Amino acid sequence: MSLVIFYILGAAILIAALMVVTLRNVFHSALFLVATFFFVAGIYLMLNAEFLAAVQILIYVGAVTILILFAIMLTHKIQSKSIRQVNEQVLPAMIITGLLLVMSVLAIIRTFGDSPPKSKNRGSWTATFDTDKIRDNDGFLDWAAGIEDESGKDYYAFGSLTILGDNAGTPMGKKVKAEPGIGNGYIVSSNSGFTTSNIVFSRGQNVYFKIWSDEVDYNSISTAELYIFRAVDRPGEDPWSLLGSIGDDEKIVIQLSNSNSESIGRLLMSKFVLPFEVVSVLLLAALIGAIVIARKDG
Amino acid sequence: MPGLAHYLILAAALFCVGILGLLTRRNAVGVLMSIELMFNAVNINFVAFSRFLSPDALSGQIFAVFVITIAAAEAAVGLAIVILIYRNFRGIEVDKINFMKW
Repeated sequence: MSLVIFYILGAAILIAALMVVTLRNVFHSALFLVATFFFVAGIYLMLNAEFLAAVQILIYVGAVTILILFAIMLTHKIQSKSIRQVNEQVLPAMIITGLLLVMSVLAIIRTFGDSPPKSKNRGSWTATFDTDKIRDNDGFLDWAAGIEDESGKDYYAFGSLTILGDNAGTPMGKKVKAEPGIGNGYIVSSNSGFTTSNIVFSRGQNVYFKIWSDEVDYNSISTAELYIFRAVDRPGEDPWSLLGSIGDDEKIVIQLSNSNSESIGRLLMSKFVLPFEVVSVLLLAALIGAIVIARKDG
Repeated sequence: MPGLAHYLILAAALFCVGILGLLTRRNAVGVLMSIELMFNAVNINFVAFSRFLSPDALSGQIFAVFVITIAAAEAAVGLAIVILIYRNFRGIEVDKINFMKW
């Protein structure tokens, strides 16, 4: 189904783009450019990039094409049919572009011909456990998470936690609330074996369990459990003693993953804040420059 | 479900269409529109790689946001230059504006 949508969108994009570069009337070209941008926004939606799709429509469809249409209208006479719109190098240009297309398609097929999509992070666990209980621990915990969907099918995931850092980070006995922050996990089907994942965090640091699977429809999850085990061999102790468990609907929260816009907003304001500011200043400078250039009495 | 190669081939085709327009258009605004098409092809690549190779990191989408910003700046400056050229030459055919040709 999504393949059909992809082919329709792709064909629409390519046809509209060909219209943009071949039509004689530049004004019509600009209108087809709007269509191209719109369909590309559809491709972004297919790629789970909702924020980018919105930005595409806002900036490209809303702003850039309006600029282009204004430029076309301000430079009237250029759209008259008598003026030749293409130069003399159409044939060599077509040959060169065709060669480039063939070469890049061959390279793409050879490199990425059969790469399956990785599943997207879909949900998160919010887990609370008592640090007092892991005070004497050498720093290795195992966790197990399980969910059950509506049809009663179980999915389990196992992984390990490593606690680094000083013990002074959190007063002993205080409950550490696991919040979005770090770590990852996998939910795999119980039929297909286990996937383990190592999680390293400092004491007192937030723990974030992300679970994902292509097989789980997260709307159909009925129960969820998270267990944290002590997996260190100590004499006289059960190596798999349970440190904490969160079951069903009381404490554990399965939420569909952070919305795409929220994640991008967080990233823009944390990891990418410097490039973001630089690009903002660049855009401001470019707009001022554009005004200065286009001023009549300049 | 379309795979990574599908998106990459679509982007490559869109990029080639953009190059075709860039090489053949006489109208400066048409050239700018072709460049916008190429920017879009690059963005599709960024988002597709982000989705298929590291779905959690979102770096590709952030870069696509930056590329869109740069494309907007480029369009603003480019169209200002086009209008200036039109004012001075009464035409914006790029093969006629060769006064800087050595």
